[in-house]
Amino acid sequence: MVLEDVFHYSNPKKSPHHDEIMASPIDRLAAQVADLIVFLPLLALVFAPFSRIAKEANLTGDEATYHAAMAGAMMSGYLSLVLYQWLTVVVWGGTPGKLALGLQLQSALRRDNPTSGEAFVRALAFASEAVFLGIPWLAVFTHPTRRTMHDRIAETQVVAKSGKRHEKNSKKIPVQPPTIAERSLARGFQAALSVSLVTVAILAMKPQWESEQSRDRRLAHARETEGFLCSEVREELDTVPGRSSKVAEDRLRMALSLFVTGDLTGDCLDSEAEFALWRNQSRPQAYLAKGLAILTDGDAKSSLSQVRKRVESYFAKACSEDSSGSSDECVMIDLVNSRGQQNAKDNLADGEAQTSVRSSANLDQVLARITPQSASYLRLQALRSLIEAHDSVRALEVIDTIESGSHSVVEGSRKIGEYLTQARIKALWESGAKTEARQALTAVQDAIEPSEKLELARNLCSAEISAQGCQIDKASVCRILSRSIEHSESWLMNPEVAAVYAHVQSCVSGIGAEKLRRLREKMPSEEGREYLEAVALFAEGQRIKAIASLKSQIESPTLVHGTFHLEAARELTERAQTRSELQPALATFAQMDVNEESRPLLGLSLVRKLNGLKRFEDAFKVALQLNHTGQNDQDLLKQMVIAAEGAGHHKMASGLMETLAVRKAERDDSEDLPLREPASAEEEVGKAVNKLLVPGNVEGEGP
Amino acid sequence: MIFPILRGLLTPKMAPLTYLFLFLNLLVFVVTADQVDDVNDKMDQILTDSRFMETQGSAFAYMIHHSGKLKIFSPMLVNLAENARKGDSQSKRALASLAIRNNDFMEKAENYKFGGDTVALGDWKKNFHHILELEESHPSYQWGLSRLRPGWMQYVTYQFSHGEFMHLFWNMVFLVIFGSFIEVELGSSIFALTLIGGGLLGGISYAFLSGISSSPLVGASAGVSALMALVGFHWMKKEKVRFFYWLLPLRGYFGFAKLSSGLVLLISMLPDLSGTLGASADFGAVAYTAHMGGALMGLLMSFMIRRGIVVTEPRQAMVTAKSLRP
Repeated sequence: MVLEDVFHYSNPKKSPHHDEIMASPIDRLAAQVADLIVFLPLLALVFAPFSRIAKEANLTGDEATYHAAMAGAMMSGYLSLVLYQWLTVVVWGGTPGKLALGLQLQSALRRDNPTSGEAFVRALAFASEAVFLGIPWLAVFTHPTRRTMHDRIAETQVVAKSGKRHEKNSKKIPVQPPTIAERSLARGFQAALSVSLVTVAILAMKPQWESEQSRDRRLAHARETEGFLCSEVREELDTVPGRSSKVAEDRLRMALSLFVTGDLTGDCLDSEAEFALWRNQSRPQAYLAKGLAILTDGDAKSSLSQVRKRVESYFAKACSEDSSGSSDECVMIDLVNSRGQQNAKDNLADGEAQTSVRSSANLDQVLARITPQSASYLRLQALRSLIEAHDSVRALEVIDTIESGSHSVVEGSRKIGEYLTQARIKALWESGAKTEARQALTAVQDAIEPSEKLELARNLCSAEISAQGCQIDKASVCRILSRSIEHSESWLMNPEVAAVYAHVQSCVSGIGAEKLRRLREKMPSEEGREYLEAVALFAEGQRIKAIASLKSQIESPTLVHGTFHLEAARELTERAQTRSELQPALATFAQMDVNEESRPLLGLSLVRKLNGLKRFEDAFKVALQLNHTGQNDQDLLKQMVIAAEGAGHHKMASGLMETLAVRKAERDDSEDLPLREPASAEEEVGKAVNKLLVPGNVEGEGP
Repeated sequence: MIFPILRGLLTPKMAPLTYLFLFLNLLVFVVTADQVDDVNDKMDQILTDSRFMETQGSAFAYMIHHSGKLKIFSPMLVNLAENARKGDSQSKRALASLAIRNNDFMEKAENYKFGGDTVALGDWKKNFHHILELEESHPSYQWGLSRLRPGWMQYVTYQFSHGEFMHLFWNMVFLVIFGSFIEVELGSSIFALTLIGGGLLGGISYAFLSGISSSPLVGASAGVSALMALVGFHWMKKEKVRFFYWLLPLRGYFGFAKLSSGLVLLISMLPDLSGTLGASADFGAVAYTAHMGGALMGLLMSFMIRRGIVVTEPRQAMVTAKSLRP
């Protein structure tokens, strides 16, 4: 009985075949190799047409045909193996490999040639085992009667023929059942091979599978929608009434707008431009987009001058159809050139790029060419340029015109709406309308993504810390930041947010060392924990130890440019009681690159502290350094007035007071500016100067 | 592994013509090697430039799309072109590679009025013109059979030119094994006729079945296929020939065996047939149809020998029996 034979083989003595001159397992292995040599070219022939169809379908992304061809290849491979094993046995009594090795297949019951049916069943079972990469064939090394699964299912056995090759064998004892050692070794090998093959297959196929899945998704999406273009553009256009993601012009306008707001990569913009160009649609805009994309992303393989030449060629093409130079594309190019391209400075940091640095005169001239009919991407670019030029008053005007205008590409676009909201808050802050900026930030609710809202709050809170130190009032942005984090501590995983939050916590009056240490445990980074430990030491009254800890953090080479580097330097600035304690923070400031984002924040903290310590000359020097690199916000100007006055630069102080007054007047004259800072800057500065110049009234004695 | 050994490496004295052909192939390879490397390097520099390839892909897609109802391009190319026009960069790169092998593109592209990105096309055209110039000076294009030089001379010269060392190496191994065997057993004239005739018939069948493409057809493979087919057919019923086999790294499982010469056909012709059935006309690559044309020459020669149309002049008499012993 077949099943009995298959499953009752543990005792070889029970088997009626144990004393046969069975084929040696090594001969059978060699026969398999010989059969592979014959069968593989035949298999390649069978696979060939399927392979061609699959290759072509894969290249063109025709999934259905590809999968059908693969299935066809598998099926035909399986059938070919069945036919090879079956027909060779029926015709010759064994496969070519077996015959070459002097082996023969016979019925285990009759000791005669197998019938056609037995051979077929054996061939089917053999081919099924091949699906498992032939690992079950290794049963010849483990089975007590040296019979593989397919032999046991078909009741066949492979025996050594009498002949030249086996003459020696026939004189010897028959092939013995495997020893325990052999069986264990073979089983171990089988198991190891199975596990290895499965592991290798998974590891090798996973990326391939994922890549295919990704391509399949892309292709499916491309078939359903407009192509392989950026989904960001389509998603935004879908929310804008009257615009279609299937119209190249609409796509390109939206792509340019999103690119300006930083919501679209250069690659995406490039693909949108290519899409339009090769369809001969919206060519000037497409050339403009190509130029902008190259300007942003550059080209690793091209030299800087080559990249610049390409950008210029695209810009020239974009503007070539308009002889007057008043088209949106021409104005956009001039605007990009006038704002000096921070990206160009980063990417093409060469002398040539530096020549196109921002010039307010240029910017004014270009902005004057923007009309109410100008494209929204151009207005957004103008806004961006104004924000970068710290011209917050005009930036607010532009925001108002964009929001009130009939630029339908912008209307309804969530991302552009978010950008405008953030730009408004930043501009309000910079213009000095901080209360309004705080109110606007509190009021935005769902208008912007929580992560972006938190990022904005972090930036403004960081500025608040620099401007006011620990004098944070109830309405401060830092309170908004704190509330958000207390609502969801997962934000602490963002090290930049965690750093500012930790600093805010250090300012909370009466916060105990225990509470600070609890917060310390929640910090994801080692730097964060070190920083809070130093703050906790202050809370415990171990001032000298705390100062030393902050100094070592500031001077640590691993922490330079780290997230907590700025916080440690600002904390030290806040806590310092003497000029010498302040020295590490001053040294850090001196080493900072002028383009470093945290430089003005630390600089302002230092100026304020030095004023507090009545080191007016030092404060004035630091303030001047900041002012020379374009930092001229109201907080800095106020501190500069104090420092100049204190250091005896009265002329300079009165000049700065005038600047502050002009700024205020500008804000007041701006009809569209809806929100106003209640107290005038001069009043504030006057009070501060009087307060500071009274002997003994020194800020920053330290908690 | 199984490998036909026949009588192994016979000496130049036994098979002088075989070694003359070997020498000619080696000579051409050595003389042209520097120029091939130089031109290949320059071409690679252009063909690995992603911007050049993307523009070429877009340009080819544009050409295919605007060929419209002419239907001169395969459905696969048309599908690829549509994907490329929808912005699929993978399709663009695939098209760019296929364009190099496409006669229509290579012939028309330089003067074709493309729309699209004229800035990128300006740069691309300069490089494309450079590629055409490099092709003109490439030894494989000068000796090989391609759309640049489809003359009758190239039907002969292509057999002596090889693009890569491994291509030359394996062709020469088989040339020496089969060529010297045939030269000794059947005579020098039959060897030469089979080799050159196989090359000619290979070139003709390639031109008719695959079409002369922009990639040059080079190598002695078609002639060598003719030699292998002659051995396979001629000795099939006559006598067994010697093979080296290696089944397992154990004593008794590797060595020499005399087997049917039909196995040579299985080893040489089946992969060619599979290659022909499995290769897309747009991909080019190995010229399987040339191999099959060569094999047809071997079959014809075997037939002519059997019928006495050509007379064999074995060189066995000229060499000692000892040296020919298997």
